[in-house]
Amino acid sequence: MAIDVFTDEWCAAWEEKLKESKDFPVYNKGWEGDVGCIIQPDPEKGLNDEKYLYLDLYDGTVNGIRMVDKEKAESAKFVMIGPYVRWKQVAKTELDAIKAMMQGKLKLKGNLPYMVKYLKGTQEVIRCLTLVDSKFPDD
Amino acid sequence: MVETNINFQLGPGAEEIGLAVMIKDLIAQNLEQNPHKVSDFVKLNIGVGLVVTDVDIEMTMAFSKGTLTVHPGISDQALIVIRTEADIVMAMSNVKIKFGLPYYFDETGREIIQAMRNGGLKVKGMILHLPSLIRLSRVMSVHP
Repeated sequence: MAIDVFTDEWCAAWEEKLKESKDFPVYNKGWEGDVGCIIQPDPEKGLNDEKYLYLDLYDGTVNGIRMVDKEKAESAKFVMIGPYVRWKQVAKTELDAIKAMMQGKLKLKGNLPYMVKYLKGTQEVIRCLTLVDSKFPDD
Repeated sequence: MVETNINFQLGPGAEEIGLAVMIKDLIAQNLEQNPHKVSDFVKLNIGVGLVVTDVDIEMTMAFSKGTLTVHPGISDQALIVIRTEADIVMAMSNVKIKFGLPYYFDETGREIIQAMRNGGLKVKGMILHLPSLIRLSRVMSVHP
């Protein structure tokens, strides 16, 4: 059964997929840094408020994924920002997150060379997100 | 110690291109974290076009004595033009450097070689401007 996005249950499902992944600990070995995601609202699509996600990742382990407040998300070492519709496309494998950044559809704040070194790890985090049966406000 | 002035800027319209902003920031941060690459950056004096076919992006990195300006489109001054896909652009930034040369014998390096073999990576001006291309590889690589 599909899980409503941006809920604790949905975060837990994503976290579970990461814990099940064989590639995540391999590609993220040595990684140090939390990730904040900012999902910009789109009232026409049913998302009235900005949403903030926080991924606590360290050295190939996931210590938690949860909804947080703006301050917490913005304080992360890496912050990804984008409109709701782009995040939805990423979660539904309609849009590759790296290509989205190249096209300016998503923006990344943080140490870019470091992120590039862990590119496969980042891609695995996103791949695990796409495995979650997600229900979006406008589905 | 000799202080070197280096600059990174976006030409008109380039701020609209995510990759242009990424490349500018990537190189700026990379040089800050790897100061030994600054001498290569300062010696680069060439225009490098980048066509990323699967995201419809064309841009030119104009290197001139310590200044990088990223412009939209392929400039006439681009003596090297790299045509490839987004994944290979990222792989080129992730290639390791050994003995001053790009290292093509690990997973990332093999990905680049494979793309060259199957036409997924084409580099115009590679032979004529090989020293600049190698220098660019060192500057763009996020590895020491």
